Amino acid sequence: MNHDVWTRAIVEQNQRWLMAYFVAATGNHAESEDLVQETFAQALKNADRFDPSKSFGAWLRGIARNVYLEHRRKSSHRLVALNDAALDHLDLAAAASEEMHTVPGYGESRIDALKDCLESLSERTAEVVKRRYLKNQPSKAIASSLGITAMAVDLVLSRARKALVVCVNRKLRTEVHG
Amino acid sequence: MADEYDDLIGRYVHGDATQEDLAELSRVLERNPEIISRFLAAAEIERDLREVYGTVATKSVTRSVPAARKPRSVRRPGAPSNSWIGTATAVAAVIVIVAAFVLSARGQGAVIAHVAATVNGAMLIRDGDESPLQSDTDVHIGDKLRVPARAAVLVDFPDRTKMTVGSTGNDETIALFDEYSPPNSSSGTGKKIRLESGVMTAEVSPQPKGRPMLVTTSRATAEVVGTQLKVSVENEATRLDVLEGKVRLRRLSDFAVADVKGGEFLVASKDADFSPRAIPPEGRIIITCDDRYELFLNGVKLGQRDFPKGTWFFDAQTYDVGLLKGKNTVAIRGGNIDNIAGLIAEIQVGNKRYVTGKDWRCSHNEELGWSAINFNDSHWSNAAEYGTERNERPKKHAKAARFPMDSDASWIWSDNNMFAPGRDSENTVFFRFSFDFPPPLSSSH
Repeated sequence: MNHDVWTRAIVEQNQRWLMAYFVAATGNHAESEDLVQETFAQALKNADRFDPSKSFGAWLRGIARNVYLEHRRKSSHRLVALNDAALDHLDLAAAASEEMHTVPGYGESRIDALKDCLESLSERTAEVVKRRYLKNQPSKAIASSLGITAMAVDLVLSRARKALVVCVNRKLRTEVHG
Repeated sequence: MADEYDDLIGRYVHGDATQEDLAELSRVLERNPEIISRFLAAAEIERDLREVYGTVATKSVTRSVPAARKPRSVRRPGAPSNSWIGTATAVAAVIVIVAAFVLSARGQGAVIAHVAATVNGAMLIRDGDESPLQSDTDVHIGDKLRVPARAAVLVDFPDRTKMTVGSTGNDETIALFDEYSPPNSSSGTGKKIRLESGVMTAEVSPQPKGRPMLVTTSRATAEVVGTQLKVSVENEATRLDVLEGKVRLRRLSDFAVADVKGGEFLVASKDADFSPRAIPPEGRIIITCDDRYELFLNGVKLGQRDFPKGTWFFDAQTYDVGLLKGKNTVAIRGGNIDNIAGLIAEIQVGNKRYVTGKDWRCSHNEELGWSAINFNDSHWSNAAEYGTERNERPKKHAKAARFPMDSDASWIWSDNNMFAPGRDSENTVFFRFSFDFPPPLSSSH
């Protein structure tokens, strides 16, 4: 396997869970993309330091944690406070996600499951979700066009996300076991 | 754990959390650090929703990648290389470039640029609130511009870098204005534009050494030291067209790096060949002016020519160009320094020939955004004709050289093409002409 193929494989297998890791840590998608890139950059730069007898995922998560800490140190704007215990828990949760992403086609399966789950949302909820994610409208804009309050929009979205998480997980379990 | 924080976590992973939300979440995490696993679950579904609806940034590279469908840009023929190009090529290896991505965000909220004009409306997203974008508005770090299809926003930076966000296409353009701190640099920050969708074109002034302007998309990052370029995002492909100078593009799926020179384009997607190729010319503009002109295509300057006083034969220049699908606009600033004034031009697109005539629009006033594609020129006048190269008419003394002998183009100007000392406004005239690409099937002009 040449270096380019190896690099691409590493990026493909790990970028999705890394993105979620940094979004969970920062709440900011643009910053998270940069942090994902930085993590890969450091991994590639230090590839010769990786011990093949150890877990690659754990090594990458260690880099991600340091990248996050460095980002937090440089940021002047406020980030949610993650203490060491929270970072340990995040690492644990990310380890599970990282392991799932080692299964070939896991990313596609999640997306396919989500598409199915979106079909099961009520018409009203589906409209709110579509406006938020397809048209990228903020809650206030959705609220004014649908004649409801912004708080109600947030509530609908929150319930929709939760229902989708449950639905996607159920479908993925069915796929694995059934 | 109770579900009472779902709302908060949902807002947080969507990027909508307020300062109060962050404070509340921080308190919750202090008491129950294990709740962070719910952040991750929410972030995963957020990521997947953005992928399904295509609003993201974070598209999985494991999925199929449609070929780029939106090429097109302009190429300045024979553009001279600039002295700062050497600086661009000297920029270090991939890792160094990548390391430049850590945001400092130290100046969040500070003014980074200025909206000179908006065409057909756009929205400003600041601190989670979206409001109509007005011309003459400062752009702050962290601001996002949402520009609907067939609209554009002209943005000026203090260093004279000019940017057009949006296009005539059918895609919405979303651009985030930011800054970054280069590694090992204590001498300030660099500009960073995150293009989430759509198209941006820019004429970038030479940037400070070690602090290139970065244009990032979900697929690639362009490092710009100073040049004219266009970046477009469609589906899961990013296309970079370099009009002049040199831009370093890095593909994020495998960190491959390529230098794209003036007149070349490169598509960054999973499967596309990552080698720069020449932008095929799709049109040709032949132009000259008594006595000087600046030529713009779709808001981007292609070139200029100044003839000295007393010139009688005006050499025509030829520009090979790429075109936008749909409407394209040629805009010209014409100037006259003595005697008779006149502009003559022909636009060749395949077999179609668009020529200067009374259907060209003209004005004596330089208005904001006058050269942009969708600028409304309905209040401008029709140009006046002063004879073709074959037929003399009164007030037409100029002769063009190297201009197609069989052209039906007329010398045009405003209704007064005589130099009038003291009446400066008569000496400069602004022209516009729009046409479709590809041209309609009818072959008549």
